[in-house]
Amino acid sequence: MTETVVVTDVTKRFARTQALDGVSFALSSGVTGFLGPNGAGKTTLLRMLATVLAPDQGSLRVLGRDPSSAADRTAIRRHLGYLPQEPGFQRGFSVFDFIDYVAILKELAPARSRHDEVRRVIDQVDLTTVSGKRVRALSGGMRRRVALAAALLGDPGFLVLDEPTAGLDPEQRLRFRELVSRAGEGRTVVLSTHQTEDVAALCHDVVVLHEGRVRFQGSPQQLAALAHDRVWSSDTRDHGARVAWRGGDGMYRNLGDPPSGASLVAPTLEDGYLLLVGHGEQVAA
Amino acid sequence: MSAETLETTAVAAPTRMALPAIVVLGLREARRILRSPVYVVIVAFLLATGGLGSVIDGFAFELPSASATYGFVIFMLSLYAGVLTYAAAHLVTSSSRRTGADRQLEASPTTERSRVGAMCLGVVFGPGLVAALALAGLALLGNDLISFDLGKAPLSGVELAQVGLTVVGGGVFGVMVATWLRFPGSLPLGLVVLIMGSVYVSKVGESVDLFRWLAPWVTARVWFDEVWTLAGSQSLHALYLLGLCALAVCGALLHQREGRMRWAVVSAVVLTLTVVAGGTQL
Repeated sequence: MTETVVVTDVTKRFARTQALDGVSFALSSGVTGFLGPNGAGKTTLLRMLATVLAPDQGSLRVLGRDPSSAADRTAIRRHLGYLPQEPGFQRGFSVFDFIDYVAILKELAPARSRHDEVRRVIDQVDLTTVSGKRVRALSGGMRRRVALAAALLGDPGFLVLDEPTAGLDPEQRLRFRELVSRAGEGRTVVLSTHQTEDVAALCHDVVVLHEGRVRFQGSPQQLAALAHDRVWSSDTRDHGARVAWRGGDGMYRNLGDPPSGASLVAPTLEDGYLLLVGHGEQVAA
Repeated sequence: MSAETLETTAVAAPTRMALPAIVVLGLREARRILRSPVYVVIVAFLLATGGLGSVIDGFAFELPSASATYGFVIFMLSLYAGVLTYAAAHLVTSSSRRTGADRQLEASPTTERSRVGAMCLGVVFGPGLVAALALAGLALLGNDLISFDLGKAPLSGVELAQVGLTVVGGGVFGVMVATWLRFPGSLPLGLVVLIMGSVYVSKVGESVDLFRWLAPWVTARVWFDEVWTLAGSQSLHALYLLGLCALAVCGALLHQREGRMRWAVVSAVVLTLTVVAGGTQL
């Protein structure tokens, strides 16, 4: 499969914080999810893929081009849609105006076809009814969809989405999944999230970052398989488990090295992830 | 991924701009600048002074005479419009940074330099054009209609151009300040520097006339009924003001590191021409 993104031994430091430390991976078309705890370096990495941040060391190739060259960077950006972690909006802009403004920055024209394109992406994120409203008057979830619509402008071949489902209600999340899975057909989509269900539902490839390093890259099934024979259920909390929590059925789900005779259950992607980067105290009920 | 694949992706994208993005963006920025709440100050001023005048006149409404309109527009444009345009352009330029919108805008193919350039064009297309229309209207009023209170002739075309250049100059200076000084309070700071610098140059100019001519405001005799205002070339002063505008634009464009050397050369040429025009005014 053709590689659309190649990251080689990339490091990035902010003052005393080592955000990325020798990160290497390659991505092909389809949807790739980046998982990792807060501070793992996901946003830094996604900003690099979006060509707005340069690495201290190492190299990147995005869509076959080198973002450190100004000409290549512009060429990449013509095929890029980027949703930052915390999108902001200027005062006074309506939803339509803001997306139209971004469309101008994306060099879309002439005005009539640009406006058609703006209406298309507004419809795609289901905001047609509020397109005349001020962005800053909308709810957090709606504003996130405005930013997502801006990222979808021009049908980009490379989509970088930083925590796209944060603040979305369950229905919106399902709609988002539909949108991204469609976008992932023949394109490269990378998204970072804390929602392992989104990754399991959408991604063909998962990269787990922890403390600035790649701890895993593979399919969601492979990530789940890391927890094979290491998940069991019990009536009471098993103190030998690395992580344990009680589910809605009153049974405890334990992760770690099971005692003999434990009732093993099928692992999920979340189990694999937790075992990989697990800090039991963060998830135990 | 090969360049061939990149081309394939490009086919799916909508048509790219026929006009340079910077021009389309400049028109959009012009609208944003003109819509700035800063200009509400002018409307408030007009309402307040109009209302006050009406009260003084015992609510007798009369259309202003041609010369009164002339004096009022010149007064507003030369004393307020430059400062207000400075503030409006600064606020619009800095709005992306202040609101965090630049996080998504910076990943667009339009570079920071193009965005700054578009903002400068916005100043010209917006407040600059409005001022030009107002000044053209004044020029069309005709000399015979205007009997200026001080008994002076109306401003010449070059002098009217100077008024317009102070409006544009205020705006592009605001863009430059907002581009370089990315912290809260840079707006009043730039304003204080601009006014204090002008006052200083003008003060020094009490002993050396040339310095008075270096102040970036109109030296037109309409405001200063003194001999020194007649001593120099109004055309060269207009060129000098144009040079200051161009320098502010260059200063703003120099912010982006890439390609800075090329713009530094352009800036040096503009600086030289401005110094020559400024130095030979008298």
